[in-house]
Amino acid sequence: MLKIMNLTKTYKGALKPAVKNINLSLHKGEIFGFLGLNGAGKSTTFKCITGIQTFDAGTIIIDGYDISKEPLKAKQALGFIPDNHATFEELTGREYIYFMADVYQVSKELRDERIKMFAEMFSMTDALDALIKTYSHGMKQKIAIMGGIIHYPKLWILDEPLVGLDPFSMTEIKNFMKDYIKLGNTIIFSSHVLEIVMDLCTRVGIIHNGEIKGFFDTKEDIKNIYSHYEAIKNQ
Amino acid sequence: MMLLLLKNHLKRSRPSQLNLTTKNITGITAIFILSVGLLGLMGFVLFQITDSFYRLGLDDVYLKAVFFILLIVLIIYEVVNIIKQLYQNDDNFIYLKLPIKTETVFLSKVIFIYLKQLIVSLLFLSLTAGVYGLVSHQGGGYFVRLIIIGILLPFIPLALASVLSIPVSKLLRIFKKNRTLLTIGLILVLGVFFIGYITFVELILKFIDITAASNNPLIRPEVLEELRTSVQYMQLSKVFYNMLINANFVAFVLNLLIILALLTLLSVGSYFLLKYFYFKTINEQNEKVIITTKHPPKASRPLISIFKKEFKTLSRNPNDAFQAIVMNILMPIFVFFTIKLTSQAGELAVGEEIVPGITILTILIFVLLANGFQGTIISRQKNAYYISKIIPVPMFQQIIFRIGFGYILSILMSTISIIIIVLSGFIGVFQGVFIYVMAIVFLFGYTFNSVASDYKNPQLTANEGGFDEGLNMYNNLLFGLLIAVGLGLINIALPYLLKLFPQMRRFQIMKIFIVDLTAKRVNILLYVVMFVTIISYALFGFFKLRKAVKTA
Repeated sequence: MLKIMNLTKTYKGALKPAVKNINLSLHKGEIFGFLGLNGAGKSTTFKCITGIQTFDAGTIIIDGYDISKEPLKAKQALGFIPDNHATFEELTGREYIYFMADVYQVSKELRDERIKMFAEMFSMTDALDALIKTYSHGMKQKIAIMGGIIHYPKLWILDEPLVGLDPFSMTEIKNFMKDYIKLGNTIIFSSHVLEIVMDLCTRVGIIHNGEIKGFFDTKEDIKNIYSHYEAIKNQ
Repeated sequence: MMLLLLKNHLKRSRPSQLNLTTKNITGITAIFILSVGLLGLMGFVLFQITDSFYRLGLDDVYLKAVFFILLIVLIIYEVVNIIKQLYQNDDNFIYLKLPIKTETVFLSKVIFIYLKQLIVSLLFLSLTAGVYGLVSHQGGGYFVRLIIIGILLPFIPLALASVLSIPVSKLLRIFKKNRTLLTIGLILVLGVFFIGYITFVELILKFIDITAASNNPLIRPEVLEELRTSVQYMQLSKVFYNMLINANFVAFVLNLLIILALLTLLSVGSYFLLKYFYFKTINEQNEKVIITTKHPPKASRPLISIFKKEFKTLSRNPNDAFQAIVMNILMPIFVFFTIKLTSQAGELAVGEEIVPGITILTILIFVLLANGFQGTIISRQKNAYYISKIIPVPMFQQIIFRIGFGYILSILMSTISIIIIVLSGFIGVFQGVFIYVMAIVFLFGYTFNSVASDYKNPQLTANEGGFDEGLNMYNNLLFGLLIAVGLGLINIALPYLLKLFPQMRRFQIMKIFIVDLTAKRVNILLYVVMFVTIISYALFGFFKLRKAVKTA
């Protein structure tokens, strides 16, 4: 579903690369956790995958399409929730989700059915027709998540998705993620909270100083994950 | 504590740090040139007016009017500032949580507002009463008295504005819930203000015209009497005038005492009123306003959805709505009155041939003013810019459909403007069509160029609606302004060339390039130059945008 080969990105004026020689391969039906401290390179990697940022070297293939060569086809297969959960604040929640559904060409019946389901899941039904700028922090995050998943992307990318959510919504979204991969979709998400990653993911990649320090199976390598991450945190 | 808060207000009011990168330097230079140009123009106009009134011997009328205008301007400006600082500023949420008395926060903000008004007051008085002091050769005492007045005067509008801000802020809360009402209100207020302004300038121009003719101009005694009677009602201005012009120390102190007594009365009155209403109002302001829409959205095709989204986001943001909708809708009124005024002045000075030239200059400048907002199309998305980047719609198509709403409105309003100008008899049909085509191509040129600049160097971390957000816009506005002025001047010159050399005339450059031309041929040549310039401007912008989007 996602194949990253030798991805390297250096920001203008930076002394060292933000990400260096990243190699990663994700399969259908997998939740992959990207674990790392602040500034480790998680968000940069996501920005390169989603086409938000260009990169200096490497190749990114999404659902068989190279993001640099066939960006529109690659983008059709992905959904992205950034860590700042930015949306168009002058729109209402429903208008924003409708906009996202329009650009991904989701049928009216399907979008309404999904909006109803998500709104109930996040307790957002009553707030959908209010302007996003009047929402609380957590509500904005929920609407960003709803807008990013409305087209049921084959690859769903979430940058720190659970920070700031209430415990009830956090549980709901975690359950949804587990169900979502059963449909044959793939999820990659970042976090610096080990417990969340361990709870959700089948595989984990630890990134530090722009480089992947190792891949681990959450069932078999529990000890390794803890020791690696603790070592990085104590550096 | 008071000093600490004041320092914090001052620090936060500094313009954001602009990076002096090669990409930003043109924008910063453009802001500087535009600011200096605007200040220079204002200074020149004020100097002309001051000089004219002095030569007419209308010193008292002029100075009383100056104080009156300053008082009114400061009241309006201070109401806006008080609402922004006291009621709507997000820092209230921070300060109210801290162990600081609410009265201290309130007072520190009032002092901060006063300091801002002090700058306006001293600047305005220097350019008016200060210039008057220079042209009428006043002594040092005059300028000392002027500075004292400059320091005291803002206190009066501050006290009045503090009280006025209470009902205005309540009114704004109602408007906040109804955007259509807000837009209509803005259109009405701005329209009335503009017509009033033009009427005022018309009056001033009459004076300048009269005084330009002679050093000892003659004004009918009844007109003089009328002017003097009208300023008699400006009692407060009269006190300031007496304070300024009277070299007698006792008279000065007497007038100063009147002002101080009035100030004490106003301050005490407004303090108790504010004490009663302010904290109540601030609590209301802190309450969340939930704004909902009544009509559910409809499913649309991707590009139509982008167009609709742009319309909604523009119309629901007061800053953007002001430029995108209010300025465009008012364009026909602005254009009509400006052309009426400038053509009157132009006809008197050089003849009616000047009107088409003035018309094209005016239309192009208003096209620029009403479409300036397109130059922040990328920057104003801020963090939400990522959405444009991740959605499966080509960026060029997204941009074209996003600027589409502004285009439709601007083309419509330009069409109405030209029809009004032609029907009013300012210009002929042929000239109207020519100016219309030029205006539309110019609109494309400015938009493509400014959007391309913004795309290449977006200011995504700039303050919302701040001047730094429009960093890429200013150099394009300046360039557009130069083109508008250039084309306007050529058009103004065209009819005079016919008068200047109606017969064939030989032109030569260093005896190498020799050509025989009639004024008619020169005119045709200049028309070609204008068309080539404007088409090149639009095409250059189009390809610049295409290239920027492709290479991103």
